[in-house]
Amino acid sequence: MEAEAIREMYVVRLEGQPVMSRAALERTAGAGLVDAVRAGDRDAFGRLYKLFSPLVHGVLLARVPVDDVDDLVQDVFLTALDRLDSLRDTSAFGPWVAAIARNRAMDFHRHRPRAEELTDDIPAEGSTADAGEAARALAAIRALPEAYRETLVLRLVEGLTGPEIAERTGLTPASVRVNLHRGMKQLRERLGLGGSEQ
Amino acid sequence: MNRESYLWDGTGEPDEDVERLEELLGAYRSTAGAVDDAYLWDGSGEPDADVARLEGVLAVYRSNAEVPDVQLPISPAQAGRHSSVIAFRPRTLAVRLLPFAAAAAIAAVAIGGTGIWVASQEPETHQVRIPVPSPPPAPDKDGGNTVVNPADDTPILPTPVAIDGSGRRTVPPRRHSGSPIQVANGAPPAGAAPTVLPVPDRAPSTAARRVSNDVDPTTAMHLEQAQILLRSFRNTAPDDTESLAYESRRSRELLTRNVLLRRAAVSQRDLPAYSVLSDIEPYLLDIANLDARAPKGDVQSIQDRVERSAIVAGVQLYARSGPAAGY
Repeated sequence: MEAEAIREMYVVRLEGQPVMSRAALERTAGAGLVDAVRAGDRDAFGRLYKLFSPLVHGVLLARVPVDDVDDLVQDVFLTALDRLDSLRDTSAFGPWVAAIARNRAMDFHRHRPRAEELTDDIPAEGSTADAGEAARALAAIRALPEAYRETLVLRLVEGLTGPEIAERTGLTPASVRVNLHRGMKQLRERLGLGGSEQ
Repeated sequence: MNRESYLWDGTGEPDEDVERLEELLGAYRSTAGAVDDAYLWDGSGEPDADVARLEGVLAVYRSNAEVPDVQLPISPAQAGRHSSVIAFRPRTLAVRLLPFAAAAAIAAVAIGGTGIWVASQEPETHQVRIPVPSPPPAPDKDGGNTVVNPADDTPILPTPVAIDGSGRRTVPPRRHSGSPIQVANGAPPAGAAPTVLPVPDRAPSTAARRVSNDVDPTTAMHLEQAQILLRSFRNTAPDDTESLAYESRRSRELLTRNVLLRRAAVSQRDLPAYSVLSDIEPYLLDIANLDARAPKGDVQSIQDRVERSAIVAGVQLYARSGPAAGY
């Protein structure tokens, strides 16, 4: 909803028809918000956070234990805010903050004791059966190659669409489509789902 | 020509051979584009049962996107008004601050010279009271960091350090007598009662040297909270994992706000606020990054740095110097 509202704010129309692609609108919205945050606009920070926190959350969730993700999301945004002046192309905030998140995840594993990597990722809410299925599905996604893992988490967990993933990560739509398709195929095989024969 | 055209882009007169080969070799075609993955791609088209099921199950892990509690002291309207000057460029800032830095250096030399002269002229003891509006959240563990001011029942800070008759520095026991902090000039005579100093006998942090006449209330409030945290952390036993975990979490919250306030200070060209916020940020960062199972040495190292830099005293002095000191 928030992302939709932001898009609405920045819609550019010519005789009633949008003249910018959805991806371009995302870029413009992100760039405008980055500029506003640089100016000290608190509301803009809130909107920027809401727009890009699913991306950061997804990138981290594909790599680190669930319990640590929320803290790391905040760390990533802190780091991003601290370095915001070094971002030259404000429309590239998404790929930039995603790169920070990936680096933060690597740092996390570098400094984390090896024994703690086996933490069970069991969600706190929902029925036991659903929780177990969710944990199993997430574990299966995490066992996939990295490119598929991140894209699938963004699509299936964070609810982003393919074009949104492409826009925010900086990947081409074609790459995202291939990653989604092949990743989903491997995931079906791992989970023994009905569509795995496709 | 027409047959070549069909082979090239499928237009023109159909080539039967090409059509036949297309049909035969179609079995080996990649399935990437053949499968209807519209729902997987952008949620359109007929829902894929597996994808929809996984979306539902995995939604428990979805980001809640709760914006951290950050406070920026300037409004969007103000931001727009100042937008031409707020972009932070370290090099530009350094150039702009050069005259201020030179003036500050001259003032520091003058004050230092006066201080030395006064010290050589007046060896007697002066009394200074530094009240703080609210008490710290956790009780002091070393028993010597909070002294109550009898006038308004507020604690007197910072950490007192005693010099005994032989000139050795010691930490005095907890005092509730309400006697004011004493600053001594010159060495005490042999056998005299311990004299309490407000700061260690080394140069105070840069924050302690700065004075602002216009402390932003939000910044002042933040600094007070940071000061309480630093003091609490300094008094925490290195093996008290519960307290360390709490302080680390709290430090993370303060760090978020500190970054934003610091940036706002730059945009408002508030050099004193920028300096003091910059001074405390490394400490907040170190505490925030502390793991609950961090080695004692790491904790002690940070505690020592907090102690050595007299950062708490510096922050307190800054917060007190402005009109918002009575908040």
